[in-house]
Amino acid sequence: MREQVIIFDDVSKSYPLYHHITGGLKRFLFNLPQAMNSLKNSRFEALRDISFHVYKGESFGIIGRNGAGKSTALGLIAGVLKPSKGTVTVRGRVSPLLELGMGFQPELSGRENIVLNGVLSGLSRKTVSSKLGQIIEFSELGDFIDQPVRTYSSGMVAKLGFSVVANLDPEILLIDEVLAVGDIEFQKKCVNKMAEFRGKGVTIVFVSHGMVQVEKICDRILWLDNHEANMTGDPKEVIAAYSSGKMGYYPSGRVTREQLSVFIIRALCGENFTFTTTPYFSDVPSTETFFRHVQKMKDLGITGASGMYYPNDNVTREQMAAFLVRASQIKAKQDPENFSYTTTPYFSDVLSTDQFFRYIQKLRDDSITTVTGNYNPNEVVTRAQMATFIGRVFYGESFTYTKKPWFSDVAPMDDCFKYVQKLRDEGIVAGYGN
Amino acid sequence: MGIEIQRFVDLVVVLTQKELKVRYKSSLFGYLWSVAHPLAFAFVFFIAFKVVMKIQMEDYALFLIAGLFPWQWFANSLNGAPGIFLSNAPIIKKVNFPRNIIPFTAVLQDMIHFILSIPVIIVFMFIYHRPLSFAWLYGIPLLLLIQFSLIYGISLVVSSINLFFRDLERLISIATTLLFYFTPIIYAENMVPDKYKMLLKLNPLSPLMTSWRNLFLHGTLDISSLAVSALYSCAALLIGHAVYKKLSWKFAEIL
Repeated sequence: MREQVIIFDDVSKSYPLYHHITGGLKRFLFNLPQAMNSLKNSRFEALRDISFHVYKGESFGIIGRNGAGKSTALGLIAGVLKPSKGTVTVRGRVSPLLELGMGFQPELSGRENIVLNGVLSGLSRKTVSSKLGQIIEFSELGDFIDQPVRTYSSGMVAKLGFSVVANLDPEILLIDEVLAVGDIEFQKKCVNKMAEFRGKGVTIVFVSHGMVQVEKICDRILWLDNHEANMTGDPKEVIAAYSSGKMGYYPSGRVTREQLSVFIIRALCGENFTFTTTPYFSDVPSTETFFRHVQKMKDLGITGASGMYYPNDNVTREQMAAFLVRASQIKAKQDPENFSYTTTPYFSDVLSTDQFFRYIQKLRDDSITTVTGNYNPNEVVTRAQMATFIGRVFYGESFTYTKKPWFSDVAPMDDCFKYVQKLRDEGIVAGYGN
Repeated sequence: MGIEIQRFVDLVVVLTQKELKVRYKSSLFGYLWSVAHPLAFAFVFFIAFKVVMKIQMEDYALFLIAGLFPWQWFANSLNGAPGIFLSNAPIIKKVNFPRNIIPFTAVLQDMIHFILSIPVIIVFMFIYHRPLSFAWLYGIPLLLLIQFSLIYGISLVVSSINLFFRDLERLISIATTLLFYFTPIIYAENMVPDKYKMLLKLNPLSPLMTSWRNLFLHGTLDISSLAVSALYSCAALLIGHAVYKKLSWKFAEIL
């Protein structure tokens, strides 16, 4: 198995809004009660429950709108920020954060700034001086290298920045939106250098709005949306989803066991809940994005599985019946397995000897399923059906919901519309790009 | 362990060079300025107290200089402390390294200025026909260490807290002025009325500054003031470190 060099395990990061106090000691002391109050209560959440990992030698992209939390994620990897919740593990020497203007002192010359940044990022003075010539040459700055950095244009600063981090033998390279500046020639040079790094097993984390570059450079992409991880995976797919803008719900998509777990737990417990942190299932490790939801399923007794959870398997209608009845029992604060149900079979294809008989009967008793005749227990559940079932279990038949469609592919005339809308209102589904 | 120390030394060397360069990049006579300041002070006080008010003290100019030079180190470091982390925001936000190295090198750099200004004191010793003492050889390093620790501890507190309360800077400059007149620098400690002598002891600077002056003028070191100074230094270091530990991980958030 490949070595993971960056691991985000259920990481959240929030900041207090410091402007209340940076206004000054005087103002703080004269408005002490208000100031204390706002310091405690007003926090800005930059990242929420993020889990992902980056393998050694991988080029990992992070995309998302401005303010989605990309820079915060980089700051956490660089170790200049600490998570408010969860853990960030980084194995290897991390380059200084490469973004516009990076860690440069404007009064110092380019040459002096190279030495400063090299030593700060953990190299010895000797090593840095031995690489000085190489860095200066790469930067193409010529005589400017001995001028104070404050006299540089932004393109020159970017050149110097990339030259420094690229030539200091990084193990993990963090690059934030830098290739947008600088001339075309230099951009090409940077991309080539990064390709060279990939060959050498250097791990690259790349944040950018330039989708062409991201797609070219990265092996995998994380899409941060509104401070949460929206999607991780193949660059083409993620970028396609991200670029389309409007979200789709994919009503005809298949439901996996992991997805269903997430929706049930969100509906039952919201986003803040405690759970057993020792993994129950060997195929759902703690680095998995939805680890906590699956753990909670087991904690609550909604799943009886042991050993393996098969998170990516599809859910059949009979399995979902079992999940939903147990969830509904827990919602009513009842024992998940102890309930009464009609013993006369409702459906011709679900007999009393059937393993899931009691759950399917109960579902029909509670009018969660309204079909008659055949239940089709082995059919795979679609996302539309799931929304309907979960909606009925948790909100019944009459509830208020947003009338304006959230998703481009679920229209008001669709049967599942009100349930999908409600689930989106409650923050249970996020949807995907088209 | 060896690598850690090597890294620390490298960082200190590079940052000290950087600080020296940043400060004196555009002023050619950087060193002269740093000596000119306390000399100008000494001149003003000499005129005011010796020429005008006719204070009864031998070699008052030398007396002033022996106290003003170490004081200037303290005042420079303290007044610089609030802005230390602010002015290094770019590197703090981008690179993970022990942040306390920044105040450490700032104080170190002010100490280097002070050491470089000691020859000026020697010149005045010659002018006033005073002998140099062998006690300087161990006394100066000892007092340097004590004063360095004291200032470093205070700097850690001030520079850390100033990130959160940016107007601390003003308070500090007021405090420095008050502290200057409450410390026996332009007057001798035995000129203080008996009923206020106790208060002098509460001032961490006063045993230290009198120690410096006695060492320079008479080549003597008073063990008890030395002990009190050392105690104040240890306290400053402990408090400084505690405050820094508590706040340092928030630096990159607030900058």
